Amino acid sequence: MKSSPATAIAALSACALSGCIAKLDTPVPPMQVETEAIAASYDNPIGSVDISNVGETLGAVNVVVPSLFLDWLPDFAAGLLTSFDERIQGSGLPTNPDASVEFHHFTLSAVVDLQRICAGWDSPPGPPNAAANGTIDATAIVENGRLDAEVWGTAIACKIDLTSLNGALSGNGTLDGALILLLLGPLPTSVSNARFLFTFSGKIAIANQMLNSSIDFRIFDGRLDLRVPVSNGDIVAELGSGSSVTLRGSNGTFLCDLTALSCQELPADPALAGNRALATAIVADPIRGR
Amino acid sequence: MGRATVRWTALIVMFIAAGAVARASETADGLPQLDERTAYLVGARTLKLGLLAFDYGLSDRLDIGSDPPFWAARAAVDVLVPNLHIKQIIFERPPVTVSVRVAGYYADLKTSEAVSGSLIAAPLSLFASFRLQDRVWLHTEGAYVYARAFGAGDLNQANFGGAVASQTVQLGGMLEFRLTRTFSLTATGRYQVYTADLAFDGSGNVDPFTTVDVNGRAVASVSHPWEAIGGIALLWKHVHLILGAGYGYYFLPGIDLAYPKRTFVPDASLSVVL
Repeated sequence: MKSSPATAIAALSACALSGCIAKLDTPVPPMQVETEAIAASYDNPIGSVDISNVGETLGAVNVVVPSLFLDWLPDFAAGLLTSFDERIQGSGLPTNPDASVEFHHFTLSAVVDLQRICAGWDSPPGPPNAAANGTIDATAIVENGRLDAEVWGTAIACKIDLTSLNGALSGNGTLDGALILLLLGPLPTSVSNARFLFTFSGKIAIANQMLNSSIDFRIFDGRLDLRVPVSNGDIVAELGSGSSVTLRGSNGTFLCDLTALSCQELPADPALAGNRALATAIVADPIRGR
Repeated sequence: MGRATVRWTALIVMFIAAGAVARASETADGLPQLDERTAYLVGARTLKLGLLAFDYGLSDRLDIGSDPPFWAARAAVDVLVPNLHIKQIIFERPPVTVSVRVAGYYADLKTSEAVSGSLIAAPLSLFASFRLQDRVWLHTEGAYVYARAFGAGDLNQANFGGAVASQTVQLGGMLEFRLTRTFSLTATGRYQVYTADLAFDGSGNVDPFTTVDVNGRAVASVSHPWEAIGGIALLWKHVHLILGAGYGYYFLPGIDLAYPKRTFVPDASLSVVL
């Protein structure tokens, strides 16, 4: 955008007459209460791990995992956040919802709108074509120098080549619905340092199979957490590499093996939680490792 | 005789010649008038060359001029800031004089072929000077300042275009006490009564498939900057010297944008009147 002095003076004149600096119209993030409640259920699951029936509990984990498309959806979601990070950081706006930032004696507020034309199913992708390949519109807001934790948006018939997200996969995906990304840390620069809760409500199609989905999962520095329904609520499964999985419930934390169908309780005392840390370390990169 | 000597000689001759026809601004009883931050003008066919402003009196009621510091900035930074101001008396009935001053600043912020930008600033001031007694004046000012910057270029390897805009309203006042014909004591104050949020917006491509728009507002941590300055004014026939020192938030002379940190505030202006 280049402006000549004449254009600038004309704009100035118009502004002087009309008072052209309007108030910032900041949208309200949707489903705030519901999303916070989901995030809380990951922190403090109310269901209990039935250690006497480990086989059934681990079977439930195996049922839930495929429905979350964990082999490509986390990369897709993290990619949206890294795009936000690039622009928000480039604009001098805060990138961490946990800290309020002042910029040269100014407190900043902003609405950041991302419009992505989906790349489509061609490999390599052709030129951007919103009509053929669909779109994603997403929004982040900065209020009083602090990035709001909730980033939200809508995918409209968004066609994705799954290979572009995970080289081990092949096939085509389509997203159509509402998504929310609740930041649990700064905006990520890659999936490996991403910390967020992802919720999606709508339709996901893989090849010709269309699924109505209302799903959520949590990414924390490469670790994948998901909720597993049990008889008295939800427990949280933290996926490790290979067959290891950590189950957290109201009655404790258990390190389990999906193949051997066995679990052992980890000590609750932080001083004795070395095994827990070890278990977490084992699952260094479950997203890539799967 | 070297070239420099010739230039200086020519300049002095020109000054003397100009001085012969100039009629500096004076009161009816012959006192020189302070014309900076007051409703008074430099005078018809009078050229005033100052560190902060060049002014020429087209008539007793109309001045035109420019601020050399903004032109001189070109020597230090690769930015050209052409600027112009006009001041006109709109009411004059002793002891009250009212004038309006309109200024415009334009900065071409282009730093490379890939990055371009521009800035406009337009202070609009209304001055009213009251001669309260023979040697006492009260000079008042109300100012509206509008500034807007436009930009386009390569930011973080992504094409980016945007704009920043701000509006302020300021009130100023100066009490002038003339001790001798040419020497005055001055007490000056300035207060920004209104600060609009600084608006900025921009649009850029993160990649060929992704566009991100940013629309924001910046709220100054100091919404009502002020300054208080005590000083002197020496109004000799061909030289005007204003010196002062104070405290508060420094308002950039001419453009009237406040530096958002409280500090020592200097005040200095030296002019040759021809």
